[in-house]
Amino acid sequence: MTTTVTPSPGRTRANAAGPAEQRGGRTRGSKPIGNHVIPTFVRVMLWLWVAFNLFMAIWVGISSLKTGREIFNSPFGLPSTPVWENFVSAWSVSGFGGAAVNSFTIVAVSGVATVALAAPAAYVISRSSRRLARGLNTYVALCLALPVQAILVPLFVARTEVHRFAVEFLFGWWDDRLTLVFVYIAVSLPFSVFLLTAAFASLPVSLTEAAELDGASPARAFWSVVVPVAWPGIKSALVLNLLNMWSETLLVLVLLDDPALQTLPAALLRLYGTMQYNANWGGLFAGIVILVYPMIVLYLWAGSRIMEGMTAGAVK
Amino acid sequence: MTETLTPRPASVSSRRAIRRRRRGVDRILVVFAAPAIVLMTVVLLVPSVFTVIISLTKWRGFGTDVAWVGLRNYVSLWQSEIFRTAMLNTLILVFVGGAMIFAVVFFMLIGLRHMRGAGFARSVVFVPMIISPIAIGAALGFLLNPNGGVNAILAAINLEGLRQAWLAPDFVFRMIVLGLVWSVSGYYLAIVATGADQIPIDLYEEADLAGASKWQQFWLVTLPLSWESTSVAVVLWLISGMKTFEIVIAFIGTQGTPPVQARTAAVQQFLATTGGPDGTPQLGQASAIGIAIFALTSVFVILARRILSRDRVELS
Amino acid sequence: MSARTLGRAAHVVLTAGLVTAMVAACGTQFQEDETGDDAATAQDVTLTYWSAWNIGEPQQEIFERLAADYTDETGIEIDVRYLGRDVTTNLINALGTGTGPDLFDAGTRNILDLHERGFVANLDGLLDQEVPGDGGTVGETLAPSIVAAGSSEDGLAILPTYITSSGIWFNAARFPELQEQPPATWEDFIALLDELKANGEVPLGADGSVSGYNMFWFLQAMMRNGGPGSLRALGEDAENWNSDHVLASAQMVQQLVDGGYFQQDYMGTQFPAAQVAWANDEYAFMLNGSYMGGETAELQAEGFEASTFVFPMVDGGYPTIDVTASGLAVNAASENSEAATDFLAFAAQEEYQALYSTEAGFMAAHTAVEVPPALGPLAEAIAAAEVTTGSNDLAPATNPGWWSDVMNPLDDALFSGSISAEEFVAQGYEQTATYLENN
Repeated sequence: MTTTVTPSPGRTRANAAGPAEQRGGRTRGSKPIGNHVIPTFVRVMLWLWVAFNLFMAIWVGISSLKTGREIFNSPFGLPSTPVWENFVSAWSVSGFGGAAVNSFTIVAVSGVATVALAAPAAYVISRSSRRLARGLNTYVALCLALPVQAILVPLFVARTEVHRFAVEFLFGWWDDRLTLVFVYIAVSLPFSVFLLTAAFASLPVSLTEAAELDGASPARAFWSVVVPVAWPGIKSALVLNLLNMWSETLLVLVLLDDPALQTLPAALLRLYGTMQYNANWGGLFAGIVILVYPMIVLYLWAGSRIMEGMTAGAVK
Repeated sequence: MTETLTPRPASVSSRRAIRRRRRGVDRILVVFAAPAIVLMTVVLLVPSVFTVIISLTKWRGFGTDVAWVGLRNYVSLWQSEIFRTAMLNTLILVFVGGAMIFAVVFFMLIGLRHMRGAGFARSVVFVPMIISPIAIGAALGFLLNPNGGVNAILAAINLEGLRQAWLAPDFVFRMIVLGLVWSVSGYYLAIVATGADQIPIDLYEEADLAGASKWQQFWLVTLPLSWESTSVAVVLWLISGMKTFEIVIAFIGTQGTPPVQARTAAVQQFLATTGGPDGTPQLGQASAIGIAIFALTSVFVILARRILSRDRVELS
Repeated sequence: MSARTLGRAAHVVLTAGLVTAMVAACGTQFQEDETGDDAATAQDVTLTYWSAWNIGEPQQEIFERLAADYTDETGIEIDVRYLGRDVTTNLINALGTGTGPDLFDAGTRNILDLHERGFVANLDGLLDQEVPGDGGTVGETLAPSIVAAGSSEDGLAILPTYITSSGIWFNAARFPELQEQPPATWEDFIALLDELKANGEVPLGADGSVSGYNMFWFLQAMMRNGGPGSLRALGEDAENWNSDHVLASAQMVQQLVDGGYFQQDYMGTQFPAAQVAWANDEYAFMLNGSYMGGETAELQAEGFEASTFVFPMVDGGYPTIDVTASGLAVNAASENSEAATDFLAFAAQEEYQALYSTEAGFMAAHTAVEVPPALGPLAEAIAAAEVTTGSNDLAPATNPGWWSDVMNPLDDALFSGSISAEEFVAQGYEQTATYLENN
């Protein structure tokens, strides 16, 4: 709170002093509430929020070492003796290993491809003065509004047909994971184009002017000038897509019916089922820990970069 | 003469350059946008045409007869109390939940400015976003169970009177809204902050010197200058809020069917698509719900963009 | 309303100019039922099976053992996918598009539906097939009531492997007298609940967040008061709600709610919190499926002895008992139906069927297999029963939309105490009428 008052000398503008003194008198009455009570209250709430999140993470960890009965009977107690077997059973039942490989591959390929397709489209939509561009902008917004559940059945049929067509007429081979990748890309495109259109629109027009004056083609200007400048925004779109895809469950369940091909959320759902019917609650929490802790660690490690990527989205 | 003429060619050529550049972007419009647009059309639009057709039929899924019923599915939705409840829940979630999310986002923006550990707090608030909703639902369920953590805490601090059957049909929807606000606020904070972080510190310093309260600074500086990212966040929330689905399923667990009081339109649609635990799909009705969600979302998005669009505040 | 096939609809789309490879493919798919699947090639036979069990469940371990022995014996491999309970939806889609497995799980609850779709092979021939090793035919290992529960109107649809029913669970170590003399009538039962309550105990437990379990009370009351078919009838004609036995049954449920016999906040449990607490001896009784003993086996308190008694009788009521058979079905479109049926005959061996009792704690369908002790009373009642009905009186199987949109929500409201028995009947009449009018 004290830091807010400290002016950074280098950046203070001399001419600001005048009006400040004049207006200062009038607003002084509301100042204590506005400047101290609200921020303090907000900060207390914020730290409570943070504390709750930390508590949840720790609580899940402790629960993963308890027996099923302890979890129900003393939700906040410590385990009498840590049940490490929970992790053994969770790992052996869940098939997390294979699912993790699927998740990483599918999510990485889909995420990168989505942004690679979305960025050029968003750029031209945000910049072109043609009528078509406006139409496309509306089209993207409408696609964005389409709930994916609404097209599950047609997608399922299409998946079966694509598989058959590829095997019988094209390659003699097909992997439904490829279908999932295509669907992930298509489903994420409206969101990405939408987000990136806003990011590109905020770039100054002068940026490409210079490049094109130098005789660069529009495509080249995009690639060598716009992309580097808009990189934080593109990165943020990528990160958000990766996060969305990472926890996507519904399409996985509908489009991939072989557990060996499925991703981590589907594996977790099956583990939930197993543990629920076997009442192995410690095992369920152990599964959650196996799934969530590495994500949190990865996130804390890369967190500053992710946040930076996300918050530097709209570059002036 | 020469002196007055010299600037002219330059300005003419720069105008020409602008025109050339425009034409440049216009020229690559189709090439750049085509891959994304084509993929969206094939994977999203074409299947949704089938959804429209199915919505005009009565169809219980493969192996059963398809009967053409015209608009009857829509009429019966309109008359169905269950669907009306689900739609009302969705609207409550989108508007009340949305108001809470953006209140949290804005308060955090105020609170996070100059706060020590702001980056850390922001990262931690974001964490639920990287965790599978299934894991979140399972963990929160244990806390809200009658013998669970929340009631235990209430008993410990002598507030037994506040004890609730948190997950009971009549109450669980409120918990779902809170759970959603908790888990997604960090995400929208990140998107809004995209713009807010670009605001030069000097502006706040000037405002401080001018005697503006934190509250006024928010309304006069933060909000106008992050308007673009805020409106992106609002539109994204409208769209994803209207589709809210996974968190409801996660709260109920894999065993039960969400009670009517807690169903969103998307949940109702999912239940009709799969037929619930007894597994007899009603695809005609499910498709009609999908179209209804889509139509309403489109209206909201168009309205929101009308209301939120305003000239960007230029900083130089 | 003119009933046309979607083929016409698809045609409209095609002529509208949306002709892409995918559209065309979908179009042909929608026009007709599967015209036959010639994609599979006749190599060495491998049977495919989609299981509703999860890895780690006893039933999964039983199948693994069975499949391994079968492969040793015959050289035929079985390719299994353990998909868990959510298998049903994908299964219907896969069977409908000709990509389904040779074998899958089915039971009384969905046999009618699967049969109507033309997805299950008729297994009548299996009944006359010899059980390898054991001698005798498959038919001889199954009681007629169980064969009936596993059949559609056209014949046997599954090889029944286990049967489920529902009853009132209790700890025989705590109430030894109930094993010999369970409450015979509803009045006796209520008196017992009152006595327990007066002693400061919690007489009844319930996982109120699972509507299927809440329904057990109304279902059983209806089966007593109205007999088999009476619950199903509520979804067929709104007038049926006005029968006296409907109000009487609803009043029985209301009596339990008003009596305060259930644990505090029973509607808000995270499944299976209540059955875990029951296994921990916190509640005296729970009405639940015959599978609850197996599900809670690991969590039962020391010395706990799970047992069951059947739902008490009412004056002039029906001795109805619900029997659901579950087992393995063969895909009607399977290229390997002969091998699949042979496998079922192999699976009918007592050695394997016994595992459903000893490992999973189920009532095995095989007549020679002994019932787990906890289920003795239920099994006796089933053996003696003159009147049986399928799962939930087959109401969800015959009228799924009404079941999930009208019956379940209303029953939850009654069971939670938010509406009275009279309101339940009135709203049931009204909502059923509206539902039937619209659908």
